[in-house]
Parts: sequence; C-alpha cells; structure tokens
Amino acid sequence: MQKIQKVSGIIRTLILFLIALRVVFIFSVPVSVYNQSPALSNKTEVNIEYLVDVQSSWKGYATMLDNEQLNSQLILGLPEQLFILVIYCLLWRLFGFYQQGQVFSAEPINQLRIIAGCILLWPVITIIYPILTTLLLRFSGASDSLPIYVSIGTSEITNLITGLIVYVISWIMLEAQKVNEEQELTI
Amino acid sequence: MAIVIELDVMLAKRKMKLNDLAEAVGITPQNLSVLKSGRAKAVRFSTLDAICKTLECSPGDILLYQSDDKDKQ
Repeated sequence: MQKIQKVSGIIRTLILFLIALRVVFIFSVPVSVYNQSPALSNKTEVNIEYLVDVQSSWKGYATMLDNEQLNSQLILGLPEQLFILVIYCLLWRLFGFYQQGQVFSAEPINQLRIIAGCILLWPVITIIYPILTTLLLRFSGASDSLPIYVSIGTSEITNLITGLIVYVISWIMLEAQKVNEEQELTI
Repeated sequence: MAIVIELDVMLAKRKMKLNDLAEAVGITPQNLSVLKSGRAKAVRFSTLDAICKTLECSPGDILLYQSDDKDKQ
C-alpha cells in the first residue's frame, strides 16, 4: 500500500505539471486572437498561435473555418484543451484518493466511472460539436458557405475503446471493494 | 441471516468477559464484537478452533442455524 501511495504522489505531481501546461495552452488562445487582430498586430511581436493544435479529426473543419476567416483555434482548440484539462483534473483527484490509501473505497471507484464517462462522451462531442458550430455560425450570419462537417477518425474509436476499458476497470474495482469488505469482516 | 452467533450465551455460561476471550483467542475485542453482533461475513477455522478451545465447547454451541422463515415470524 505504501508503494501505491508513494507512486500516486509522484503521478499527482506530474499531472499537476500537465494541468499547468494545459492552462498555459488555454490562455495562449486569447493571446493568439489578440495577435491575429489586424488593428493590434503591430503592437506585439510575440506569436504563440501554434501552441493550441487542433485535433486530427477536426483538422479538415479547422481548415474550412480558416478559409472563412474564422479563428479555428478559438472555436475548436479551446474545447479540446478544456476536455483534456477536465480529464487531468479528474485523474489528479483519483490519484489523490490513492495517495490517501483509499484504493477500494467508493470515492475512487466513482471517480473512475466519471473518467470513463467523459472519455466515452468525447467521441460524441467530436461528432456533434462541428455540426452545432456550423449551424450556429450560419444562423448568426458569420458564414453562409460553411458545410456541415461530420468526421469519425481513429482517435474517436480509440477514445471509445479506452473509455470502455476504464469503465470495465471501474466494475472490477467495484468487485474488489466487495471482496475487500468481506475480507475486513472475516474474523 | 440464517446463521446465528450465540457467543454471548456461551460467554455467560463460562462467566467470561469479551475482552478476556479476545485476549485468549488472539484477536481484537472489536473483531470479536463484530462476530458477537452477527455482522461478520465469515469465520476462520483457526479463530473458531481458538474460541472453542478457550470456551471448552463445540462449534455447534456457538453457531446455530435458524431458518429465514423463523426470522420473519
């Protein structure tokens, strides 16, 4: 158990570092917009617009948005970064429970389920989000020629499989919790 | 549950305290209390052996089967 607690502490520190990195990425999006603004472009030479990279399955849609003179990094990059940030925060909390020695209690198992749910939800969002964005941009009058974009790539399938694996692990942990409870009540 | 623990009856017969039995058996009074109150999920043979040895009785004197129908009545 001490080993689990020790390694969990190290993992938490690494996750915290990754969270900090993601926060920098998220804040780089508004900076990027600021840099791209024609009126303000002469005021700064700092250009970090490529810090936020759009995911491969949305790359085609990002190009379409760029062709329409819309900021693809802000529209597509930001939700991606926020999703990754949420997953990191959930993982940070999960390993917090492990660090406290709560391996078989209800909280980490619930946390694992939430993580699985988020990973499973992301492919759905990946499909729905560009459609909603297109409709919103069309209705708002920002673009007339932007097509409805649907893309299912390998990353979505990978996310689905990963989410299912994490979900099954949470079931296994639930069974382990029952075994642990029985073990504690064996005299 | 169908299995009833009658440890308190046996303790009263032997005029023994729970703490003394726990010490003699080599388990904590808390664990023995769990067993006595019927919250235990399982009993190890080694624990049962030690309890029977200390109380000079057989497992049947401590563990009783009571049908669930009787519980409902």
